Amino acid sequence: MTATLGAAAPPALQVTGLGKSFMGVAALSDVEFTLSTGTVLGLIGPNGSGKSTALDCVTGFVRPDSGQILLDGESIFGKAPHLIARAGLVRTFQTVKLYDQLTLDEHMSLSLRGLYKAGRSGASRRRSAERKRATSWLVEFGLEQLRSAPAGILSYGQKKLLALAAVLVTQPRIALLDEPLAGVNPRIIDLIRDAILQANTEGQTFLIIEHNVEFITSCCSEVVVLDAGKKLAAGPPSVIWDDPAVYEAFLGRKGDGHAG
Amino acid sequence: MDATYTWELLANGVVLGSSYALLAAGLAVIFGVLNVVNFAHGALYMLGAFAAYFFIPLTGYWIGILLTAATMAILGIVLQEGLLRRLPPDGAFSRSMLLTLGLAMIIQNGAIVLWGAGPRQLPEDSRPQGHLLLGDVIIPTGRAFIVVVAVATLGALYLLLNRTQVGRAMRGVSQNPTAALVVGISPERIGRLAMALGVGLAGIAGATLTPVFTVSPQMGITIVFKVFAIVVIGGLGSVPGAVIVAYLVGMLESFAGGYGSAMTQSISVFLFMIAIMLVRPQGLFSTEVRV
Amino acid sequence: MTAALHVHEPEETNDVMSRKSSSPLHKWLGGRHLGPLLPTAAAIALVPAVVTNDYFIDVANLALTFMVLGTAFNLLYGYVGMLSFAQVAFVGIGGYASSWLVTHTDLWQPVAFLAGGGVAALVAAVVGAVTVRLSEGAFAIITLSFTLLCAVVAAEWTGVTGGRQGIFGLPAPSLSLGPVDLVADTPRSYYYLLAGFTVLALWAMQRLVRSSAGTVMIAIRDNEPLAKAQGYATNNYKLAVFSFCAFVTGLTGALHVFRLTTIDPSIFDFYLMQVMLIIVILGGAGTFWPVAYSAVLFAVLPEMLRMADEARLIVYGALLVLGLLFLPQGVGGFLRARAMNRQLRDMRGGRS
Repeated sequence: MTATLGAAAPPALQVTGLGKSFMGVAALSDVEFTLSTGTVLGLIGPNGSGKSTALDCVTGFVRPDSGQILLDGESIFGKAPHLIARAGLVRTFQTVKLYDQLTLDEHMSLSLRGLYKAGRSGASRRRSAERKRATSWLVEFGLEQLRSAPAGILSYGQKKLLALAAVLVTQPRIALLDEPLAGVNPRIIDLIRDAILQANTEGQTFLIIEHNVEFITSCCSEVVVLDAGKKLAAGPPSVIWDDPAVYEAFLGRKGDGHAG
Repeated sequence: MDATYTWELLANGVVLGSSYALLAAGLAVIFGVLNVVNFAHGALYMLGAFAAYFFIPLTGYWIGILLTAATMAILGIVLQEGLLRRLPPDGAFSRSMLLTLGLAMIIQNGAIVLWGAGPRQLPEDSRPQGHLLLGDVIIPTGRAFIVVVAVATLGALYLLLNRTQVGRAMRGVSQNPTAALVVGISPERIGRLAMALGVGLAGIAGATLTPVFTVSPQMGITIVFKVFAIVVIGGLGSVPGAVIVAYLVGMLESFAGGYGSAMTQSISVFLFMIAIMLVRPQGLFSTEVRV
Repeated sequence: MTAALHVHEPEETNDVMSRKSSSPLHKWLGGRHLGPLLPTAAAIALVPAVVTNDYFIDVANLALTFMVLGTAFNLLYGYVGMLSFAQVAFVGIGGYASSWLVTHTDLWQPVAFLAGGGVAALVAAVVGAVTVRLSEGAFAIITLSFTLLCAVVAAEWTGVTGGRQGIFGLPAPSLSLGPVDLVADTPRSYYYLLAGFTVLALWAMQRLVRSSAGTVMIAIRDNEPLAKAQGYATNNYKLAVFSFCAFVTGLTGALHVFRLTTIDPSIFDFYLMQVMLIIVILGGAGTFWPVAYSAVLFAVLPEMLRMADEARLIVYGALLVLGLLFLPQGVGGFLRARAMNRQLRDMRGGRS
């Protein structure tokens, strides 16, 4: 593709017309959003609005009924989740997923081996650089002492930190985080938020599902609001207050229904 | 093929399908509600047959069937309370499967030790006499009763699952385990009911067979293959799916009966199961949401 | 806790990324993970010297067979998390394939045996291609159906399998190495054959689970969606392990069947499968050597508890149920958890 004056590279992630129904109920209808490189996009909305479903669709864990999903201009619609991950869409899960019997070190090295572009064919120098990065993440999150312990013994907050570290250490094209702050104490919230901000200043692109309003306003450059499977609005975080429909959906009816 | 023969094959298919349907429905209920693949199902079916073998000469056909159903239902509750409930709910799925397998080993071999490996048959005077005449088709009474009992039982099951609160709760649990807690019906009660139903259905299936065929400790093993295939094809947690596929298989088996050896039949069923799994891994009627 | 950013010494972790440097041969053989393999091999080698009675040598032969079968099943269920009831089928397929090849062709015997394993692996690849992606319940049921199907085929396909009679009069495995003729026609000579095979098979399987592929296997077992999210083609791994275990199992089946000099459809009976299950569950699914030793126990147990087959199976069933209720991680898992707790206490107690 020749670069002409004014031609822009395709956005990191472009989703259009995304639709998915479960047993006749539409979890998503005609959802569209764009994620530009280097931004932190917040995917917000009340419980049950389809945020996690959208994330599942984009990362290949759920096959959408309709729509177009372009990663750097190339379609990833319907691809297998491990291929999408290798293409650069690395995610965390709302219910923190870890390998109970494997050590923290093994989590980090598995993640690197599976996802990091340098990968397994790298020279030993590259591998020792990876090891250093993995170690520095564990240190930053206060997990270094437990690096040889099985992940099953970690507290909930520590598990979330480990899951996040395993994603960020691979420096993915896009990091997709599903409620990274949910259910943890303020100290860990700070650790996570600082890590996200730090990574973002270094160029990491994020798509984050969150409810924490303070986090959204301070960290997200842009938000997309979903309600009952439809896109309600998009714009800077201030849209939560500026747009009355969004305000009502987001804060007025928050807390009804089960996890989306 | 003359008309009478076709009707006979049809009738035979309905009889076969009825047995399969009772068994498959029981498996589906246990899997749907408790998320347990009950590998002891064949052994429990055999126990039901033996229970009827002992009851019917004493009490006659209908009371015998009822007593067997009640006994097996109670056994189901005992198994739930004594064994299944003791497994941690978040434990590995395979644990419950293996537990029922161990149970099957105990029941199966226990039966051989207690009653010997040979087949037995109810004495002539304990068996239902005579036959029904539907047009030109002759149906021995015992076989007709299989259908009658099955239809009645499945009808009652349908009413239970769809018209009662506890039944609806059971269906709800099968689709969303946490929902049951919201409705306010104790999960223990639902679990007990599911096992009572599941084992009871298996027992009734065995009991209705006793007056018609022979009974032996091995009878559970041979039928288990087909019933599992039926439930997998129908969708592991779906009761209506299980019943529909069961009757289909019964019909197919009846009409294909003369054609092909046991080997080709088994291969066909297996290949059919694989084919369905290729196209629709969750089964034909499953409500499972697969990721 | 200090924030000293020093790179953690690799030797202090059991991390996959680090490998303590040693001689290339030592590394290739498995490095410091060789562990109990050498003492076990030594013990296996010593048995013929200690045991004089031919009958008990044959029991030892069964023990060796169980060690490999149990470990292969452990790989599938304990390390990858696939509960497959098809292992018994592969024993039989390996047995029948090699028997047919030896009695109907002039194929060099060792190749016929390997082909037994190969046929089993091929069948596994075909069945597995469709089924490894299915849910646990469906997979268990289909593999069970497959075994039952094999039993029916073996009994009915009289032309190839000899029907219900099976194939009998199988010759003793023999190998001509120049002037030397090695024939395994006595229990003792068969023991040497099986011993060599067992040590080799155990070494290979241990090498696999201790490798980085082995870590991926455990990852798939513990959390398959996460493994996918980390870029691993989990179904490919599962298929590969499924086929590999089928190969080992088929080859073991061939050796087993030639020791008995006969094969018939009863090889597909549930007995073997139930034994494999109890070996792995009580030994400790996912622990390597406790399962291998548990296999020896269950080969020897029937000799110590002389009882009818059915009574024994009732005991096994009860052991299985009790084990699942009260010691689901098995003896091996219990020991490992205890060692882990000790290690954690040391870690937390002071900076090690």
